[in-house]
Amino acid sequence: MKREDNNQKNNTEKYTVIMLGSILFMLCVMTIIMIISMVCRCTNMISVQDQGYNGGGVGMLIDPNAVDPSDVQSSDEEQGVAISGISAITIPQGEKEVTVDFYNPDKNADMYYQTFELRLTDDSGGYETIYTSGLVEPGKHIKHITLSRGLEAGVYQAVIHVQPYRMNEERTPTNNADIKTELIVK
Amino acid sequence: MTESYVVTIPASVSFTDTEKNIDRPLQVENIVLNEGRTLKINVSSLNNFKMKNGDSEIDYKMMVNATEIPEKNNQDVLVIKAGEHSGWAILHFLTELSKDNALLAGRYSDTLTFTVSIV
Repeated sequence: MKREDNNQKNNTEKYTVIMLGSILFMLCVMTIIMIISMVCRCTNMISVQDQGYNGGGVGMLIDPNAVDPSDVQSSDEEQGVAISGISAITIPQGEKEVTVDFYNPDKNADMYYQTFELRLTDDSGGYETIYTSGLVEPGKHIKHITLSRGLEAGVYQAVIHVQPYRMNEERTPTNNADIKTELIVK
Repeated sequence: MTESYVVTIPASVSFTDTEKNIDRPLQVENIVLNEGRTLKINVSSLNNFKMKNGDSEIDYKMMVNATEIPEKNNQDVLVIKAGEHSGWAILHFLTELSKDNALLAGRYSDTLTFTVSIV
């Protein structure tokens, strides 16, 4: 009788310990969750203050009239053509084989080839073409070219005429660009 | 320092019976300009802002910031000064194409040339 009483007492103690342990564990978990959420809130407050808002921007609305150029063109419309420009090219005098850097930007991938024409211009609006390339794929450069003639030392007004072509069977030409540049021969 | 940039121009503008007012962006990025220099872009039309199909033509207009680009061409549409690394403008194209006009059927076109200079 006495032994049964002891066993019952031990079991009760065990259950009590287990219950207390579970309650304690749950309290710890809840405390950790609360600490984490408080830290997150504090971080947000610091970010807003770093931007100099000091709470002044809170409650303000996004201006619906503000636009970005990408807003103007819908995703279904034809993308624009990227054209690389440079203000000066330097080449050696008297040489027909020269080094340049005509580049069709990566941005035109799967859309546009480009051709490059180097023209010497004059004040009357006329020009002389001294180099014409073939089709250049997007991401590619033309570095070594052969001019139609070598040039004497001096600074020449020139234009790089860039003509894009769609990558379709017809190779349809698009709008184009004249990149004004100085050709420095020395 | 070598000056350079990347300009993105509209490849084309296509009018239809229902689309007679079209906007296209003109953008310049990765701009490297020496101090005191300015990048300028102007636009000229091969056919003086007329779309042509043989002898038949259709007028259209191009505007930038509510200012019409005149038929004589070569008006600056975008100006960017040294210190700025990018810039853009919205080009607005419009036509009065109408089914009532007795026009030759077919494709009418014009070509725009964007001239970029650094001064």
